[in-house]
Amino acid sequence: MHHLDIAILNAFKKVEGKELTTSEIVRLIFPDDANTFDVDGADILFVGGEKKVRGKIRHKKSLLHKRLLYHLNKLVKNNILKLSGIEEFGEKRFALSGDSGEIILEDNTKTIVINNNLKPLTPIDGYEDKKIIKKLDPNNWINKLDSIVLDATKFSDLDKLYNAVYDLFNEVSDCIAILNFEKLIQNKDDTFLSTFIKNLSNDTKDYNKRIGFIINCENIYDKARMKNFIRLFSSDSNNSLQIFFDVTISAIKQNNTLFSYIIETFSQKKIKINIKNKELCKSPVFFGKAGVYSFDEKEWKLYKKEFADKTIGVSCSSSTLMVDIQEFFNNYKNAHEFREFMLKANKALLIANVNKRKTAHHCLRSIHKLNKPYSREFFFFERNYIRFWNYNFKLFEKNSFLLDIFRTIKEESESFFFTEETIYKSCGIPIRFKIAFSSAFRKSDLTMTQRSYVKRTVHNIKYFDSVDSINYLKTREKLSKIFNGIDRVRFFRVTVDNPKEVINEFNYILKNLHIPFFTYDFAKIKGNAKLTSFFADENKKNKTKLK
Amino acid sequence: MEIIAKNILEAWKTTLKVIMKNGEDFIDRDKRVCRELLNVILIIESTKDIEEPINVMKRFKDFIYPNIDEIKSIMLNKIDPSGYNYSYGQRLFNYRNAKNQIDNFIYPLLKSNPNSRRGIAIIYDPLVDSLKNKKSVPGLISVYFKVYKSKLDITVNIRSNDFFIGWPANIYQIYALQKYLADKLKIPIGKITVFSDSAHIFHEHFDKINEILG
Repeated sequence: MHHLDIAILNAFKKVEGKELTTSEIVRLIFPDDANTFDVDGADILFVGGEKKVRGKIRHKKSLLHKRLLYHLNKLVKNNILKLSGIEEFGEKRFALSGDSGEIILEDNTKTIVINNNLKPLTPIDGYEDKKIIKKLDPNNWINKLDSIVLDATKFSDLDKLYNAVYDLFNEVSDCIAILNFEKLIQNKDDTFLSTFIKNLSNDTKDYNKRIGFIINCENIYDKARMKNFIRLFSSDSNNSLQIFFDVTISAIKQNNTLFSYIIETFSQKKIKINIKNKELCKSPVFFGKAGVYSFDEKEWKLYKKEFADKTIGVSCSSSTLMVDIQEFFNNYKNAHEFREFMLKANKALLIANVNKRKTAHHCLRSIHKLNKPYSREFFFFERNYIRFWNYNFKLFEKNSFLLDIFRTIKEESESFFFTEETIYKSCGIPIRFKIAFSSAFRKSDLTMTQRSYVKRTVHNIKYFDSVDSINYLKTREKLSKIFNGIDRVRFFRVTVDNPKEVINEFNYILKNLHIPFFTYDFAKIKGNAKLTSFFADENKKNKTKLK
Repeated sequence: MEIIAKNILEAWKTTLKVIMKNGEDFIDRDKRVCRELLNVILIIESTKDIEEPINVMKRFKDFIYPNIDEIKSIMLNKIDPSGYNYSYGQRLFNYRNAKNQIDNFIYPLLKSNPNSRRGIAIIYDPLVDSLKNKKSVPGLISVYFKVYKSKLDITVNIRSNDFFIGWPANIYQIYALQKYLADKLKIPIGKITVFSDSAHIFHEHFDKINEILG
């Protein structure tokens, strides 16, 4: 590649995806010559009257333009640049070609990567302006993954795991979950566990990431070490680090004392206890700032059987969109418009995936390096998420057709994704394109509408017998069947007098409810709307809107 | 069945018509009703309108058709890209991470001996693809290059060829590869011959196919 070609590309690199006229490129590449273009500054170089100097400047300018235009046209011909417009006096304007992402040029000797920050055009851009839909981490929507799972057993010690996690922060927008963490801390030296937690705690705060430790409670045999981990976690972590306990009723029974300790410690420190019912869901479940992440159960089985030994983990979520339901119905009238909008959201995710594939080789370097030679397999099980915010449970309880709307929209989305996968495969482009529905967390984007549903507080086990709770939980069960991306049910429990009471409540949920994933939150409840006023308003609105 | 067409659009429409008329229906693994014609040989004389079928597909708004960049890149990209179960480019230019079949074999072969009949590249890999439960296996099996009357002809073997959805992209990829090598050899491109073991269309696309056929 000619040195001027490289210089031109470097000029575009500097301006991060913006367009440049030929004059601007000349100024960037030949700054010394460009300084002489002003008549005042040219006196030293060009001798003669002002008219003569102007003529000389024009001549020099035109020589430089000609020289560059040859290379600019060559880059346009090779599809690296595109002609984006012509200025008033016929001057050409150029931009990097391609919609977005990184342009990668390779010849026999070198690879040049140029970041083209133009965001891809998607059919949801208008809805984004109305704050109805949000992209998770919009600046990195097409060059990072949302969440991944790392298998702790693939790392010989905490240092190696920490280094991998740190490197991967660059390539993950939201959350890194660490699977089989109980094995690492029970089997290996845990001397530096406190430093490990403290470092991650600081890093997650600095880089705005989340880390999830997934603990399979059936694998706990060294209770002292586990207790030590809980103690250090409760003292050294912040809320960007979470523990996710994979449990069964018998696992809780076997670890009764440990769970009492967890409940006592976590309730005092106001740390959430996240529980996944292993009887209902075998695959990992965790959450980041966007919401809950999970896998398809059948696919997870396949991963365990065929790929778990090969890769250091697995990608969980590629791209996420968050839909503010309340904001949508503030702007639009009915369910038909909602269906049309959802189809556009699906198309936007497809566009994101296309762009991600273009740049994956360069943007996800650490993932490739860590999974060699099975880096392709790392992506085999990932999904895209559409998350919903501020949908009203009370309305779902009263109007079963709302559940049907969600159900059919999910079916339509799955059908769209299946069709696209088939189209791409037929075109010799064997991609994976899957979708999951789940709830959004408002923390991911504070510009979403204020929470309008009521948080649930458990005072004791009698909570689960009340008619209101039964109706609420039945609706959540139904929703959890529709939300193939797994939904989280959060129970607030402000005071804990006796941890055994909470254990009984866990057991009740595990035994009687079809809720795969729930959280006990010991924080003080904030942000509830007034129940009576809110539902009265909502019922009125929705009678007219959701026809 | 042999079809000879002057250009890409004629080749596409004629073959679609022939499958519609003479194909046999069956239900495939995904429970879709498929109309199939076996052993179709399609010879295309000119590729001037190579992008036309893709443009036709892009007019349908209920799905998104892959863009030309990605269609081309899966054929010519030499690196092993993630995000795909396999890629033609990797198999052609870096087969089993060991052999560049195009640049290091066919190009020097035809450069030194334009009459050679050994210009063959294989995409299918039995060690990776011949697994009973494998879901994603290349449709394009092999590519054969021949310099004929000072032009570069290409003949491909496609085991399973969706003539409505897949063919516009498939033929573009074949053309892109032919063009790549022809440019390297500094000779013009010649004919394209596509041998489809199973040339098929799906019942769910009949309305759209009829729309194209007018």
